[in-house]
Amino acid sequence: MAGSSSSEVILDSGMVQYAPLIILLPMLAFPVILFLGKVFNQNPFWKNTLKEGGLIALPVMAASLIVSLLLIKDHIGGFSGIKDAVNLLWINTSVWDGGVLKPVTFGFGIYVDHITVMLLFVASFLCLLINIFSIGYMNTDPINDNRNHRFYAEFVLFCSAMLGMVLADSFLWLFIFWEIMGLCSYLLIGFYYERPSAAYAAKKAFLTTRVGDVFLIIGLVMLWDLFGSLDYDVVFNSENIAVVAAKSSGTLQWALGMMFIGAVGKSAQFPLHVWLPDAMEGPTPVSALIHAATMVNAGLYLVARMFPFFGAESMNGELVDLAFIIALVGGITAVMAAAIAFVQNDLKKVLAYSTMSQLAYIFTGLGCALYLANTLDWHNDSEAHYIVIVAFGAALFHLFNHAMAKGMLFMASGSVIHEVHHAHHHLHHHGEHGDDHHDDHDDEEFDAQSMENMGGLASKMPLTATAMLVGSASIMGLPLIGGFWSKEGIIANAWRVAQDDPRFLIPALCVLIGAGMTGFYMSRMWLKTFAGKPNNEVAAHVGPTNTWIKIPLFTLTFVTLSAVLFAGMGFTHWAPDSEYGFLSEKNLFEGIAYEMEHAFANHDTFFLILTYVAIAIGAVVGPGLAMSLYGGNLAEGEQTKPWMRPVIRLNSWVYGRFNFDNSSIAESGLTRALEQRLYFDHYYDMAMLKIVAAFSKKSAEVDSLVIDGAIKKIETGSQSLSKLIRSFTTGSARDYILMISVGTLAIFFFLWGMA
Amino acid sequence: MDDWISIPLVAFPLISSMILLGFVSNTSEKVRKGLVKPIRMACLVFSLLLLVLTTGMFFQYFGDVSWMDIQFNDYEFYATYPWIESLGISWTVGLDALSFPMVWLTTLLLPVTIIATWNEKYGATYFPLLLMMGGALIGVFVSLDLFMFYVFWELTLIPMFFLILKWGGPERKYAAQKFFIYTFTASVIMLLGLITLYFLQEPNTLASAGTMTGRSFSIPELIDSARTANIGDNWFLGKTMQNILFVMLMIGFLVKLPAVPFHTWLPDAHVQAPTGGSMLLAGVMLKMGAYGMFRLPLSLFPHAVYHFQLALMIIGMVSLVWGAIVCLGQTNLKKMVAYSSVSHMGVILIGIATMQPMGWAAALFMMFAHGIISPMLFAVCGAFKHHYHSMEIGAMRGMAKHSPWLATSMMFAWMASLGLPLLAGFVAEIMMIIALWHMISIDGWSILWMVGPALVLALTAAYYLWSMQRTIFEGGDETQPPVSLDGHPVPDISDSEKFAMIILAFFTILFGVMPWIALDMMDDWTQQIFNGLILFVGKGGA
Amino acid sequence: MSTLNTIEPFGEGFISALCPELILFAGLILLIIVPNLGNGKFRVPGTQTKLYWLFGGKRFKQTSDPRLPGWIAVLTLGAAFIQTILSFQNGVERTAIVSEGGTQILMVNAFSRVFELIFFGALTLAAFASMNRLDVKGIGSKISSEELYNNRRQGDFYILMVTCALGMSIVALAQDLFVLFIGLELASFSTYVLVAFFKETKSGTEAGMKYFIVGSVASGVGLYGLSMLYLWAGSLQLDVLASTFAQSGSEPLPLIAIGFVLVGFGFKVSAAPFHFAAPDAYSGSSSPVAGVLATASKAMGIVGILRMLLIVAAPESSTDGTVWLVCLGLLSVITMTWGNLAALGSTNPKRMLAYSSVAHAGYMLAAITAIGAWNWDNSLAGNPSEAAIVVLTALLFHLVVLVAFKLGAFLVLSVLESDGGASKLSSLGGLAKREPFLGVAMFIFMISLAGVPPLAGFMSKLLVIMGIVKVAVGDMGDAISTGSELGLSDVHWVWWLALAMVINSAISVYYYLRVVVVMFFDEPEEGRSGPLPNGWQVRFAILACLIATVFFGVASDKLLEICEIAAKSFNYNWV
Repeated sequence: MAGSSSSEVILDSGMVQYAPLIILLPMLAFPVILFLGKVFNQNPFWKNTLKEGGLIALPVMAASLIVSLLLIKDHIGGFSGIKDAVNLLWINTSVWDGGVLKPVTFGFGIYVDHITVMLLFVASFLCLLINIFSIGYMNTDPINDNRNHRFYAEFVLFCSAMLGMVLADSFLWLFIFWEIMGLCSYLLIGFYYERPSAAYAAKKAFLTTRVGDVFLIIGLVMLWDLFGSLDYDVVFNSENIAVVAAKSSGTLQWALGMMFIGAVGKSAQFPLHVWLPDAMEGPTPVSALIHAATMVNAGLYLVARMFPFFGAESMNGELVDLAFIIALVGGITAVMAAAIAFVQNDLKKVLAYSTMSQLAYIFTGLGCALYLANTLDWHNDSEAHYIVIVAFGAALFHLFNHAMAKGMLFMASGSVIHEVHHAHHHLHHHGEHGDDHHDDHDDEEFDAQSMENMGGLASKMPLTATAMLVGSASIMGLPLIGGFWSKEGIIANAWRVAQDDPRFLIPALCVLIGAGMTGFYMSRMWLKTFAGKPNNEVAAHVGPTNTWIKIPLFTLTFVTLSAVLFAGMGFTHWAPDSEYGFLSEKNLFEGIAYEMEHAFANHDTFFLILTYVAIAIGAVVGPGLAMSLYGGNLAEGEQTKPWMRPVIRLNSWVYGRFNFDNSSIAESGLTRALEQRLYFDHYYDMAMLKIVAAFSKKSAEVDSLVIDGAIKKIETGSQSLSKLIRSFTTGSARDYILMISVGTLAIFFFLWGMA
Repeated sequence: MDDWISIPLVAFPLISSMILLGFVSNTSEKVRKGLVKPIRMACLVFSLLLLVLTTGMFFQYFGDVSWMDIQFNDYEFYATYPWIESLGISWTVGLDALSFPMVWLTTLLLPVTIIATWNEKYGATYFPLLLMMGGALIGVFVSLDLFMFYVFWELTLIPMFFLILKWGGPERKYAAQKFFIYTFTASVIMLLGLITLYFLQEPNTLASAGTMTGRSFSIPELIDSARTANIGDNWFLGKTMQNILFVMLMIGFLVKLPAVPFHTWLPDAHVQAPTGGSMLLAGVMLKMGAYGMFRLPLSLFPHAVYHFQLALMIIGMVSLVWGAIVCLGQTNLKKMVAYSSVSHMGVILIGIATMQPMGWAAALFMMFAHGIISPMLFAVCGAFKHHYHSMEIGAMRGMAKHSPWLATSMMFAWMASLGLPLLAGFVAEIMMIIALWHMISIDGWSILWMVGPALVLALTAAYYLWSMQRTIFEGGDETQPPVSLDGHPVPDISDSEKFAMIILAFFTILFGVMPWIALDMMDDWTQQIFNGLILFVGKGGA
Repeated sequence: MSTLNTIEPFGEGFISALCPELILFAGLILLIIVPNLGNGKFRVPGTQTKLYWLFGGKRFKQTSDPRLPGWIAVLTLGAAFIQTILSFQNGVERTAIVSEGGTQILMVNAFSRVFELIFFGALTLAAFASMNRLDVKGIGSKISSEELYNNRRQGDFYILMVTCALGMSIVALAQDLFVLFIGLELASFSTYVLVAFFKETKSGTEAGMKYFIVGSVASGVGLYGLSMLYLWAGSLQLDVLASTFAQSGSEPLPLIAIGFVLVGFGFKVSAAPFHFAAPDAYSGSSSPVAGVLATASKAMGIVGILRMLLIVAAPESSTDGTVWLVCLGLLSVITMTWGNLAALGSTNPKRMLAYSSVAHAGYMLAAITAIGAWNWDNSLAGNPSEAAIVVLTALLFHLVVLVAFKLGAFLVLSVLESDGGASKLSSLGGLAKREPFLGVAMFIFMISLAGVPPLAGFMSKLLVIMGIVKVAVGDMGDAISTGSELGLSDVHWVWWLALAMVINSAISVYYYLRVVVVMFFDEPEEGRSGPLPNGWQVRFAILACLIATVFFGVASDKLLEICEIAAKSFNYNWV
């Protein structure tokens, strides 16, 4: 029988044999929620008890998380290097190159190593938290009535795809899940389908990423052609890499470069970044999960996966250009996105650009790490080995920190918007809550997401404000908090590489300046939202949020604050591949001490100075500038939680002391350009409409007028010919006789000639 | 092995449909209206019987057959009866891994089409015509005699002609005649090629040679003798003749496929055809062309295939790219889908032109996958037309609000057609691309050949998403109903339509997630023909 | 081949050999006598005794029945037809009717029998259908003078039918060009009158007139050719001419003579440019008659052409290649293209069918050309007769089945004519609704004419093409199997005739389909939506045609065998 003959299952010992559950459970929950939702849409049990599917998704995601954790424990606990735990033969064909037929197979399996572990934890953990948040957020918003089942269905499908991409054991399946994530992103961005802006944003997101995916496919195909397979354990095998390197290392670089373009599209890096800000059309949980914490990390994951090629001895020094390009793209995006973030007044847009910028940091970090891996002889030299692992660890650790912090920030911003929105209703609809939301969503004069409508919320929603504060601090890289560890590492490595290869000075400078810009726009966001006086009466009437929203905020605040612990656990030395094992055998306190010392009292003076410069820029200059421009003291009688008071006070002091008029800058062409997002979207749309659409219109005409026209010509031509011919049949016998005689004479002379 | 094909698969649908038609045509209008329900049910039952039979064949329930490891030019359920002995014409039927998937597909689409168009007008004649169509199509795929093959090949035109002519749109007369004449013209040229081939064969050697002519129409015997000649030192019929006959045959097949620039009958036919007609036309009838290529020219004239490899590749690329570009420029939903078929048929041609087993398998699987997906596309179009009385993209917006089922089906079908992973279309596309790249790197072709597929991957997404943006999304507010409905409430699709969509969607997912169910036998077939023929022929024998 | 047995006129075996013709003759006599039987008396001179001699006087009730002639004619023709079929049962042996001088006058063999089959079959169906077309009205009641007149001329019409059949069968039998010509003229004159017989419209008379004038010009040219042949060979015996031609073939005189004779026959088969009268004649005459013209009369012309080209100017006897090959090839291409293109735009169904029969003439000429194409270039050194037999079989098959669907189509039109005209395409409107049987029948006839499988029309076209290709390709199969590299240049140019033929038949689909579309999907003309005039005879005839069309499409092997035997018996030098 066809199927069974080709699909066999090799079960490995350990937790990994249950790994497919991580993908399958949500995958199966998708149709369940969708159909139940379609059927029982109005049913109160469905609506209130099951939260329109939210409480079906929740246990599923919890189960996924538990299995993931067990799997991770298994892996960390020495059961390392799980490869092809499950192997299912999917496509089974053959190719021919002159000799005999070579069999070609594409299978599906589970592949776990350190990179997997990191992403697996981030994804499953955040999926669960954001699921909880969604229940508090989506189900209380009347505009979502009767369509939340769609949200949860697509949500679980996305989670399954994300986890699948992380666990897959071949680039082909990585791509497959990658595409499904794209679909979910498309569907969820277009969740409010009736809004033209949402429809446009969804299409834009899919198409832009699709452009990257095309290159990714080509890259994969090239890679397949080099190795004859796309399975990790084949392509990562150093012998195979050596063979390929001997044959054509240039082609390999091209292949990886193509794949990198795919990553650029997915992670919204320059120049394929235009879709991410528009993607904020989706509901806030979507922004939090897909467009901040997980899907956008797929590109990073793909690049991180390329490590074995860079790390292989046989490829030593062959791939530096690609490494540079990765770092460069990261550097450019980091600065560009941060700059655009300066002028955004939409809370979520600021966060979107911040996401872009932070991902760019990670790309830079990865670029540097790959460069080091590719140049240093780190297989034998333990010093070099340490450097590579630290560089790589910094990047992955920043991915971790950013995912946690940004997820939290989005959820917090979501709750702010949520409450501002409600407040708006209380004011404008005199308490008749939830009536005709459509015109409310359409009306332009009030935008619940604009920071112009906020201010001084620190007192209204303390927990949210705290979460925002911690999250911003983590993104800014304030010492000891979350992002600090990783960001410093990235900057340091960038400069380390720059010493070696001057080209890297560009990304190095970018990330250094970027640190300051981050400090500015993140503080600006927080201050405009939470500090100062309420900008209008709406902001004055905002109330606290509900429990479903509080849980994840609290959890993530804790996680972010306790980043130092993770650092101590050696997250900063994340090994690229389980072949090389973890570095830190120290216990937690030694680890923390080591990290502290390493960060603040570096032996290498260059890096010591660099560290403090970075801290100064990121934690003093940027925030200071922001404080001098925005925020200020809260309104009279407003009090906030003690741990936020110093910030407010500092802000009001700086605001009163150093405030200056920035209107000249605000009017400047640069600002306008930034407000126009540097015209990228404009020109892309122009290209789409003026060139592609116009050209296709023309070709459609050509098709119907020229190609089909030729056929029609034949028809009409033969018709007229027929008319002509029938005109010989005059109807008078005289002419007929004439014709006969003509024919006769013709035959006569013809045969005469023959004779 | 007893004959499960001739009577049950071919004669039964044809004859039963003719009986029904003859019976209906002699009744008054009033009686006819009453007859619709029983006749519809009868046709559904008959087509379901066919489906059961073929499915049973797949699960080796009838006869001990195996769809794997069938030698090249070897057939299951093989049966032959003398027909016109003086000319060497025989009724020969058989199935192999090339034809069986298409037969199964036909038997699947018949009931689905009947269900999807459950309330079509003039049902008493409509459903029997569908059944007749199915019988003729199956006949094409099972026949192993050139004469018989041609007979069924033309026979498929007649029911489709009537389907378009009676149930079609305003331009149906023009479309139906164009469809008939265009394809007929191509196939008579093919016929001349077949006859020339017939008389060029070595006289009085084949087993079933005619008493008067000394030649045989039997495909297996021809392929067999061709194979011995081809893998021997001299080419079957010689290189020149192979090329000539290859061209004559391909004219028939390329027009049927259709490939640019012979494609312009397709949009007209599709736009005017009723939903059921379109579903069968796009689902199976287009595949006749590709099937014919595999069955005859590729098996008989390997040298010519290599000789025209570049031409095939060019035609395939042009169809692929041109079809996609024109799609983007369409304002008519059904026309867009029709052109997307042209584009997808280009994939088949490219797959063939790679001369790689993987590429051929991709082409075979594309025939199959597109045969499941495109009916769904046209079912969606039909429902759209039926509910919104318009085919214009943008005539109706916010479908997701008005008709969530239709919107969902549309989204699914569109995504499947643009090659979303884990849906049937993707497997074929990725395999085609890999095979193409492999050929490029092995045979040292220019890398620029990859530009076409790459471009189309993006373009396809572009036109599908763009059309969805303007149909499913944007508005759907009760205060702005579709213009074409002048204010009437918008219905969602009927339950039968829903059911049909679900069936098609189910199989799209099934063969997307578990492609091996069908792919393994196709792979096996391609490997057999390569091991049996192409490997000996080498790269064109040079 | 079976040996030739010769018999004197009225010697033993004469009856059985010429049975069909004798039946026709008897029928003819009956047709003349029976309707005139009455109580006429004959007074013996000089006495008062009167003897009944049954002529004249007051006619009996039975004999005065105007329906009688029709039945007699149908029965006669039918009997002849059946007799012909039966004669195939125990193999037709070649029988020559020789005069005292031992010269062959008539030759009965499978070939002639097949043609008799065609003639009698077509005429039987036509006569049978005419019973409704040329209606007998108001028996035993007061009837208008017009109707009375119609009833009176029943006899004349059917007599002409029978004489036509007689003439045609003589053409098929004749071994002497003079006899052949007499038969031809007998048949032709009957058809001239039959065409003019259709008097509902003026066009009938006009058409008859035209057809007569132009036809007599054509046969005049043919007669001139005959006289030249006699001048050249001193005899009109086919075998004598053939042997003379074999010695001195390519002199101007015989060639030109043959060319002129060809013109005479070319008019009968309505080959361009001699076909011009045909459309007028067809559209002017009543549809059954037109059907006869398009089938039987055409077959008669083909007989003549075959005799002239394959017996007299036999290709094997022309030393430096067949002289008339190129001429005929050109003629065929011109004819088929002209016919199809003209039909493309004509909106009168009968004219359309006329032009399509011109096209069919082209196909047949192409087939004959193919026969002539052998052994004048050396790439075709196989056994020529084998190829010739294939082609001839195809030709005969085509002529036989043509009767089924061509005549059938005309008969359907004839029903519409009785309903008030079939001279416009729109008069077919809604036929399928008005009478599904007729609609379906017409549909089958049309797509059979277009050559769509699995109908007789497809088989016949396929066979003709196969014949041509067979000749063109010759024995290349052998050459190739021995490893020699051959291209399209090695294929004889008649292969391109096949290509022209398939392309033409593709063109023809257009106008055939147009009829179908009108029948099924147009509304009837105003005032014509009612049921069609009843009359079971014509419908029976149509049904017969329908069955034949389908049957010979799917089960043609029996007929093919007969045609093959006939083809072999055409020329004894073969095989």
